[in-house]
Amino acid sequence: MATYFIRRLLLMIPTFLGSTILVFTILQLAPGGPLEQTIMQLQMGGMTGGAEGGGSSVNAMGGSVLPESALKELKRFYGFDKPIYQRYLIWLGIWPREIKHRDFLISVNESQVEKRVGKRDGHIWRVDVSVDEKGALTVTEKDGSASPVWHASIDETEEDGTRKAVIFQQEFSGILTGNLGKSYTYAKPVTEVMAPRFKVSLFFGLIGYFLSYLVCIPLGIKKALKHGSSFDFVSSVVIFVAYSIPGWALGGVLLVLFGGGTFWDIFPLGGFHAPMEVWETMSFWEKIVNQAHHAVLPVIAWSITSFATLTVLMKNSLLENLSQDYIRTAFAKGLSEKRVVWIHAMRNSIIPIASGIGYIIAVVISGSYFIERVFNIDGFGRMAYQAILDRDYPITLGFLVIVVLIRLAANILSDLALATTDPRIRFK
Amino acid sequence: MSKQKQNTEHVSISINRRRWLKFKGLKRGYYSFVTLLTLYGISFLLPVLINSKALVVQYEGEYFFPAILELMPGMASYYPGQQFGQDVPGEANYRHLQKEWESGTDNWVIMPVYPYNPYEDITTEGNKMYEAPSRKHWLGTDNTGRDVFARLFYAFNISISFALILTFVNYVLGISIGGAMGFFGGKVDLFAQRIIEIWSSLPMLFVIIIMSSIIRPSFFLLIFIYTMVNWIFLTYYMRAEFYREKAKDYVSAAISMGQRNRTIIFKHILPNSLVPVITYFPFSVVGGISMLVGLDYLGFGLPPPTPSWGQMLDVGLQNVSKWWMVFSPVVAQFLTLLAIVFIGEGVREAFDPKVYSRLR
Amino acid sequence: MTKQILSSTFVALFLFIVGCGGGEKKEKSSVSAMGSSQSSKDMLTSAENGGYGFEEIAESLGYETYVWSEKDGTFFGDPNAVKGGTLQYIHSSFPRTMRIVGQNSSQMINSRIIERLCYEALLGQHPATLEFVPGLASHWSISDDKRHFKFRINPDARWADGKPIVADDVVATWDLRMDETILTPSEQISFGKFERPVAESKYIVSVKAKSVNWRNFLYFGGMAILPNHILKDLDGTAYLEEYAFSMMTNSGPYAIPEDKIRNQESFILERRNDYWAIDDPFSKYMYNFDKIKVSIVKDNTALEYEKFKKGEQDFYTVNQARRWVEETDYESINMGWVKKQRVFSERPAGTSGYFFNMRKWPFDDKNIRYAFTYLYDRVKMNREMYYNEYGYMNSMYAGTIYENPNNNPFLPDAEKAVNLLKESGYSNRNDEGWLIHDETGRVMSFELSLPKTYEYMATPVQQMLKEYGMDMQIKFVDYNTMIKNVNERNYQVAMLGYGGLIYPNPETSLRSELADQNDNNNVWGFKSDRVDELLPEYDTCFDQKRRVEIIREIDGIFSDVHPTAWSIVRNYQRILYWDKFGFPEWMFTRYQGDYWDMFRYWWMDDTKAQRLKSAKDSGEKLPQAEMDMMFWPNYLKAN
Repeated sequence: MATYFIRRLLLMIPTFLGSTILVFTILQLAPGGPLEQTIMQLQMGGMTGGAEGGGSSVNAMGGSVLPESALKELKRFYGFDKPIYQRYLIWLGIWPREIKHRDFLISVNESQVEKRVGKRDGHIWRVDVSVDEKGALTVTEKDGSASPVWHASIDETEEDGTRKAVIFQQEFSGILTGNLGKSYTYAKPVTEVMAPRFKVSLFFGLIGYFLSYLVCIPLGIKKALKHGSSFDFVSSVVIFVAYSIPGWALGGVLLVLFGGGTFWDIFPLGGFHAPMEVWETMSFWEKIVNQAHHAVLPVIAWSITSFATLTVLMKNSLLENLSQDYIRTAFAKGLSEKRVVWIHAMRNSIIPIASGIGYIIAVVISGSYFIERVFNIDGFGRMAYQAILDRDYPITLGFLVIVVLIRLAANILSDLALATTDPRIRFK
Repeated sequence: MSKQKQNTEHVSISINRRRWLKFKGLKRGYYSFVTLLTLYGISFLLPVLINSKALVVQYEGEYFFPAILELMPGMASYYPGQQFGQDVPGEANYRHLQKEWESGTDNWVIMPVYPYNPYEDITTEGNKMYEAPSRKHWLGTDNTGRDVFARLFYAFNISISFALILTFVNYVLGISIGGAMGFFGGKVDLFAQRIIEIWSSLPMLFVIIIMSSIIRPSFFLLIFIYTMVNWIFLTYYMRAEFYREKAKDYVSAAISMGQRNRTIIFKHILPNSLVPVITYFPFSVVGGISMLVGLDYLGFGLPPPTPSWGQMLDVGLQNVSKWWMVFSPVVAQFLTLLAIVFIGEGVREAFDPKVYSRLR
Repeated sequence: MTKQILSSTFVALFLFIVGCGGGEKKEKSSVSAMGSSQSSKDMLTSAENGGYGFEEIAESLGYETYVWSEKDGTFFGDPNAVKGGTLQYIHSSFPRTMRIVGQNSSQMINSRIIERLCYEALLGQHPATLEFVPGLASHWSISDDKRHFKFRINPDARWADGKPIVADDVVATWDLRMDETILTPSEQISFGKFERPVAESKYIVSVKAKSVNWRNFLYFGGMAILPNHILKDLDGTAYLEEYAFSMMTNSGPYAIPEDKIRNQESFILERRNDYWAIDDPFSKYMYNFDKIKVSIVKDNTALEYEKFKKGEQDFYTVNQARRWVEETDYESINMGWVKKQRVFSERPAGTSGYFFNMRKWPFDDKNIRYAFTYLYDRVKMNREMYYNEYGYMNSMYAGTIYENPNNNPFLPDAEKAVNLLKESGYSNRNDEGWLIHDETGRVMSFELSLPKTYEYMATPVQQMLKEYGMDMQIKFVDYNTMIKNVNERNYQVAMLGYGGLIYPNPETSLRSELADQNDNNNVWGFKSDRVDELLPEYDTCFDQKRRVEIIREIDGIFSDVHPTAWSIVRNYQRILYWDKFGFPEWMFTRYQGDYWDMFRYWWMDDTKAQRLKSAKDSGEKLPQAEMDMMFWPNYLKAN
């Protein structure tokens, strides 16, 4: 069995590659990528959706037409000048990524040109680029040594023999080197964007789930024991009312009611905790209170829908076990009802709930876009959804990578759970 | 041989019959089932119940049946107003005709019970936005003056149909693929699992965005897109179920008797592993309904002006002070889900092969 | 609707930096707060080179300037204004960068808040007359051939670090904007119209435009200046990286301390007491708030509104008629604690409505375009859905002097529409009630793609068209997809709008040559020989009267060809604000006309704040403000 799981772990590699290739390709197909968005920004001046009158922007320039050269520059920046397989390999980090491009010209009779490549230690940095007969370029520093960082190549040759060349640096930076790239929208490394949001979603996810378990397991047990009673019926109705009201809808209503804008001023109007400038002046204890105060409404909204599923799962699972032979045997042995239910049946009934943990982790980390939006919380879900709408590919890919990895791990976990709970199952 | 076949059939009928009788005995689930089934059945007749087109028009000795014609696919139900001597540019306004012909003519109109359709908005004379529930509009009107009651019921039909078809397709795919994986195991399982893992990382929202930039999303396109990913969840379950059943003695016995794979799968394992899946069916339907609501809410669902609960909820929440706009879709969704869950409970119990233990 | 403002990311080259200093001020004492040696006056530079004493000889050298006088009244701030207090503002997204130049810096929040309040350009413009007024430059000259411009920088102008602002700063700024590695091609397009500026002396900078165009001076004078002593150590890429979320030394009245930038949450602008032009008549009574706090609530106007009601935001602009009418009936407003007003101005409304793709069937036929417009009953929608809050747009330049008064008003007229459709061969309907072409049998059916938020505006139109047999199918797409389809001309009709321009620039959207290309503003495929003739004339015409005539003629042609079924328009802003502010009698400026003006012209009125507080405590009523603020319409009549 150990070998089976080792093999499973190794199999994660092709799956991971397959998933990322699939997702990578799909992203390239989506209309309105970053390039198109930039083009739109430039040329569309003040183009807006046709909303109700007025409200539009005032500017002096009605937008402009993008020249071909600028388009090339942008393509290069976003890496769209490379074929898709190269882009994927670059993203993986096993193909060099070209950065800091600078264009320059080499005229027909020139074999060496000097190029300014920015600044180093506060001084202007110049390098020499020389051309051999075959048109290959070599970059040398001013002290005569070959440049360790700069590379150059010829883009195209014009009719009069002038060569358009580009000088650039190379680096290996991709997911395998721990670099998920840089977000287009946040202008920061993806990992830096994700980390704080991940924590936020984890916070709500864990609290929400803890709370649901705390309510649902006892409730499910009681419903199972009193199956068919009026208690069972009434509680079913209640949890299904909760189930059919979407959490975010409830959240919105709760904010209006208790946020202090219109009715009662009991809870703050959204946010993860108090604004940073206030937050930083708080003592540890105050922070806890403040955090809890902010969390009440979102947690209610977050967990309200999961009440129903968990309760029903618990109830059915317990009912299932109560009808098993071993329970009858236990009763036949003269064990007390308490002991039979709580020790024998319970232990087995919790298993399906516990084995759902993998799935739950996945849900927790993906956060809830709706609730985060309603409560103005900067979480994982909102980040991911917004990234899709904004075509922020680095974030989207980074997010999917994490989800895929967790899902793969969860699959192995659930196999493991299946094998351990039911010894009859064999994996080969 | 034939006798044996007859015998098995006889047994299986009686099993199903027993289950049905048991299900019928569980009042809550049974009544929910009957109510929901009836309502769903009726909802196919909505054009003759909730419609602005007349059931019957008698005009100068001729009879017309616009609403009834609408029920029949391929039949033209459009009559210009001029045909009935009405001075309107487009289709006849039957409610006006009814009023006009109340006295002084031999012409008459019979309107459906609820004479509004789900699309008429402020454009239609006399319709106002944000009208509170009244005898005219039972559940008021929405932000563009459309009748909430009419939209609610048309959306009911669409939601249930969507969920049923989606679930059915998912089941067919999920059961066959998951079952094959569990039964054959080994390389087949390993390979199929990889494919499924890769496939399940498909970013749905992107697929929809890409699709909808090419073609206009329709009912069946959405079903297609959603089955692409949803069948996967069932395979996990079926695969595990097949693994478990395969390890049981009766399968070993069948194998040792030299029965063919097909026989083992369809005659032995499938019926045994199907029970939990069937009991899960209603919940799957619930999932389908919620999914459509979510999609419509986000604007990636059915194209407007298709009535849908998600769209109604969305505009309702933008106008919280107009309570009927929030209240109606929420209650409709609640009642439907509740009924389906009760059915689910009933089905689960009916299919439960063990004698039910209720602790004395 | 905030989304709408947000999404109109564009390059605001011409900035409304008004009154950032300059003028006659030999005896300035404003820099007293800075005791350092750097702030001491530069007595070494001669008057000819722009040093002190230049004012006397400016005219003889051909320079001009604008001197503040009594007739400018409160246009550069109200003398009653007092400094102090905090203005709380909620924006719908955090800026993608805090830079004002380079990639991602073209959002409203960058140009309207950061650039306008923290940086300065060589010149400003008079808020009421649009005349040039001194900015960093106190004097300027335009050569007779209209291509050479000279600016004399005010020797008092200082960076926040105390260094003087010099001609080299202007050159360095131009260099940065022309650096292609800042990934903002529009900068290169605009400033590539000039040759590299030349620092003639410490304070005098000159620049030559490559061609004659009256906008050139506007662009160059409006270019926000960055400090050379920092830029000189940076290349474009380094600039993008290092200053993405930290502020480069600036010269304007506000600064954003780095520790007050909470990424994705908020940032705070703090008023600089050592601002070099703090006593200048052009800025003395402006920039009154000590702090301006910008918090972010992403894409959730409902929550934003609740925060306003609770007092976590000081004002709220209402973009939807529904909210204005249905959701402003609550205690604070009824008691007069929150004032509710409509502020009229000459703010250009832009143009919006249903944009037809004239390259494709069915809107390649003028009759069909006209028929659509006649069937699109804006009047009914305004009455039934928008509470009659709007007027009707019939021009590309609705509500401005550029509007052609003879344009067809295109009021709904079904009969005309039916006749036009008949003329084009659509006289019969099929079994489902859709119009079909008499000869080809083609069904009159087309598609409209739009983001979900606009649904409520489109479905009634769909119904109206249905009534007359036109089948408009609506498809939901997300915003980016919609724009992409439009840019690739892959649409039949789209619901779009263009932001208004103070100086119309029809060239980018109406030139015939652009009609056959993708990715430009001529989305309709508009072609007209006459317009092509007028466009170059407009660009080189320095006579404003003639320019108005040209634009009106173009507007007339456009209206006749009719590539857009115009929708509704309003020439006022709806605003709610807590009654604790003082403001000039005109509230918002003449051409900007919206809440962005509060940051510069309004102030915290302690008496009112006290009154509001006690009124709230005791549940007392405050007098209601007059609903309609008509200062600018009246001003226009009077002048």
